Amino acid sequence: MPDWLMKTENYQPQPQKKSGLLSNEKILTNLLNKLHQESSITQQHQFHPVVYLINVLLISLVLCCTNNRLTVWLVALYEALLLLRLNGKTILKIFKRSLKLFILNLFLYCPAFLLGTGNVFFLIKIGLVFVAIMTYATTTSVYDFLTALKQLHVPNFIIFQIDIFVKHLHVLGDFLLQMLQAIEARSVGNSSVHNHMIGVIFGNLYLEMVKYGKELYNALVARAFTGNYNYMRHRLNKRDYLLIGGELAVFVLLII
Amino acid sequence: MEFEVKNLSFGYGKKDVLRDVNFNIDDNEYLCLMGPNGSGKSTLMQIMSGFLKAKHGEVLFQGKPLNTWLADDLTKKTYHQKVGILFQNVDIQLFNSSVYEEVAFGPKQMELPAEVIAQRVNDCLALLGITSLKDRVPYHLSGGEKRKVALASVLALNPEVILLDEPLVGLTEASRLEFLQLFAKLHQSGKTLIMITHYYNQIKNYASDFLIFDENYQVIKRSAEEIRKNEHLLEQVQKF
Repeated sequence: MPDWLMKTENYQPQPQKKSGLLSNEKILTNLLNKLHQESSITQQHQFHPVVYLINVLLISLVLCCTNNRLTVWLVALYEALLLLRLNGKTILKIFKRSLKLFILNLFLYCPAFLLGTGNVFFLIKIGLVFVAIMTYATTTSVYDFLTALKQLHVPNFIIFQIDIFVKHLHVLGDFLLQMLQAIEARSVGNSSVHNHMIGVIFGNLYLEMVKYGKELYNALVARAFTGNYNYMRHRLNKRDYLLIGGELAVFVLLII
Repeated sequence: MEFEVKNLSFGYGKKDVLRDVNFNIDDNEYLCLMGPNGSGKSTLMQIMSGFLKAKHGEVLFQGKPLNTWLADDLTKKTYHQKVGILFQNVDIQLFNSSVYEEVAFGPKQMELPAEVIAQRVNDCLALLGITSLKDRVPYHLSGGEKRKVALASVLALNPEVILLDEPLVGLTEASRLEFLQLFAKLHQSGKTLIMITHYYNQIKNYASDFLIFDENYQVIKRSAEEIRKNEHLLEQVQKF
């Protein structure tokens, strides 16, 4: 055993500028949490996947097509009713997400106001579309979304691509997070070294992606994958029939 | 005292993983964490590594709360120098272009003189018997070799405590024995070792203490001697 390994290290790190590479760790953790397919929200407030997807598509369609103020306010009321079934924390989350999208949209729409052609009514409609989409995204798992696509007869290869893409994102995101943690665990001093490591990290990520892709393909072949995407069949319940009623009302508004 | 864990609780979402855990880890202890899958061993190690934050309770390292160690960039770096981590998935731990560079990464971070860095790297490679791999690309090594390189890169920082997350998984019987003998040497040289393992029969002659986890969030600490004398515990740890 070498002598230095038997002595206690008397090391004091010097103040350094914080590494930009390691500050991404928190962002990545949050992103990965968002990618989690199952959440308590999705389990508690599930509608039939197809009915729910049609609902959000219909709301978006009505808001895009109508110029009638009363219709827009009625749709807003309908959206509010759908939000009422959720708890306060979830509603807050939906509004925060919608607001972020809305601010981005507002930024893009700013020139129209500067040129005097801006329309506040249009912004309200866009805001309501964002709320509808975010309500769907927050309360639906990726698996339910794929089930709905399948039942709407979207081709298998498209559903399969989406599914594999989400799984890849999850696996590689997790790998990247662990790698950043491993770097952090040994980053005890000079942080300027990190800037040279970005290429290495992405190189390793690419190798991992290729490896994972091959393993996934082999696993599919080994299980005699035929290209059919199987899904769990859901039954309509009372809540779904209520939603269908709401959808019919929205549809009537669209025709009017 | 290296670590003091007081009323520690942690859960993922609504599911508890650790509930009101209390134990101490002394200097130069060789502690093994044993328990069924999903009982919270890795979560506890993640908390001790500073990558997860406890929901309730606290962990103290050398008398100072872990939150204090991790609050500031400088103390965080000091903590990571004092507490080395060998991850279960060694692929994530190897991110340099050669084995030499991999082992030299830590000492270079510490801004040690070039000759000291060279000395440390050569000593670590020799200790693990991987001097011949010095110029190889880590990614192309076998699983056992990768694990040795990862351990060498941790040792090059000369940590006081080494956290080992299932270091024996996927190794042959002979390689496991080789690693255990090396861990014993590190323990004898004054290091504190904290290891997750499922191989009681192989570790029983080396470890000084055991932390036993069960499905009901119960965590108990027993010395190797106590486990040997208690038939019920012995049967329990042999099942893991």
